[in-house]
Amino acid sequence: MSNTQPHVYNPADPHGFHEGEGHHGHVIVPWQILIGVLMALFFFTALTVFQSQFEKFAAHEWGWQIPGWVNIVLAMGIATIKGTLVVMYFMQLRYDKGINIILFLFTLFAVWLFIMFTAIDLTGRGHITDWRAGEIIPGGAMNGVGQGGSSLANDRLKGDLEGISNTPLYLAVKESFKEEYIKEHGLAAYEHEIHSHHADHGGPEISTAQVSRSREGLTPGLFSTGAWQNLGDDHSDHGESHADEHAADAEHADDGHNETENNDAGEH
Amino acid sequence: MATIDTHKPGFPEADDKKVPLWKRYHHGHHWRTADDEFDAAKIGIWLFLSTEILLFSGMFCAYALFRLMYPESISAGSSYLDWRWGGLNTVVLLISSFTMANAIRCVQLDRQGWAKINLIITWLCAALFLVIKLTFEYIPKWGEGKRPGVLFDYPYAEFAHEPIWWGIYYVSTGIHATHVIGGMALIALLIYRQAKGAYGPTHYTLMEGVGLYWHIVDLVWIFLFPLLYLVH
Repeated sequence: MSNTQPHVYNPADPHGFHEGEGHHGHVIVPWQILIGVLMALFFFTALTVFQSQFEKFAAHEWGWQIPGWVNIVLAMGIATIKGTLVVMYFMQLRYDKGINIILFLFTLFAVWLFIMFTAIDLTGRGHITDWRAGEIIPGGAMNGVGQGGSSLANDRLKGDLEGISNTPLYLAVKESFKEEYIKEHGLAAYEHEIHSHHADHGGPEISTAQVSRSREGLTPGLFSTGAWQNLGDDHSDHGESHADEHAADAEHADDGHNETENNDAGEH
Repeated sequence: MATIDTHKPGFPEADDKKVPLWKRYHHGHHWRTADDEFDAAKIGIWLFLSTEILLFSGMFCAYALFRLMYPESISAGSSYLDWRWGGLNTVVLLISSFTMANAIRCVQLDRQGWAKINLIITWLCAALFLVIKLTFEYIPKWGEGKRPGVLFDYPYAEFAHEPIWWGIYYVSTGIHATHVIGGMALIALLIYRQAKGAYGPTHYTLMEGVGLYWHIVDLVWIFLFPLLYLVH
């Protein structure tokens, strides 16, 4: 307000302490509007109560089947109208500076974001995506039954990557990579890559400072300290006797840091 | 003409005691004008009201969440509430909102007598709201065993998750009631200060702030009432 008029120096008020005290932008809302808004609020309260009770009555007496969302949408819609009236006239946002209006509307936007993301999550929980799903067998596929509840963690501890390598997602991705490679480099190059194991050339499968080897699967020995090895095997039972398992553990307890994939494949 | 020391912020002493308090008010020196001070206070109050709206939106989100997860329990729990008490409370709060806005209007027009009456009616409506809520809703329900969570003790419950419904009900209306109690304290402060003549056409900042807060309390109830009582 004060910035729109050119400044005129007033010798009676050299520091400008009393500038702008003449205009008072405070709106006085007439009592007719206040009473009118109150009556409107009463009306909408009665309306929302009537709507709710009428729906119940109609369903009970005449068997009208009104979908549930109608009730909620109407109730919240009428509440929004009442809220708008209160905010615009009782709180005088209608006569107010822009910044307050922006603050209030932004808050409503934040609330909308909050509820929307929660609702998207909740309503999408039962949805199964095709390429993620395993084969749906009535009665279940008995994954993990009889294996002492073998989990992915246990698979890793045992060095058994079968659990991961068999999921449709893993196979689908592997397949798509293969197609991309063949499309770009040709089938011959792919065959060459697949069949030339670096181990055959005398070099280790492990990356060194001079050359890096790409590998499939997990780092061998990542989860194996001596204690971990014992713990993982204790929880799983493949029908072997415990004596055999402990013997196997004792054998490999020292190799914890140097195990390679070949060793892991041979162990179980 | 009474000499008024206009260089001290706040309510400086005046030689003539008949000059009302609000006329002697001088804004803080770090503000250009009293209007700037008032506008800044208003922005601050609106920021606070945003946090209040977000607080209650958390409970609305909890309602939506549990309604999606356990629709029968929420619906059955809602049917235990009597819409007539909720409707009466709504009317009481709407009247209190009106009298609050009217009190501000009276102060703007320097009608101190009417301002005092309106403020007192606002406070009485707030007290009535709490009395109705306690006497006819909270105490009977708590006695019957309709309580949240592990305290639930109602023998005729039909669905497994009804304690969750009661949790939603008590927390949302309880936090709202806490805000009403806080509002009553603030309105009592306003009544006290207004009796001393602190508010007038050129100075009523605290009244404006408490008024805005009180309207938000009313706004929250306007949404809570249909959500808890009327949606079936």
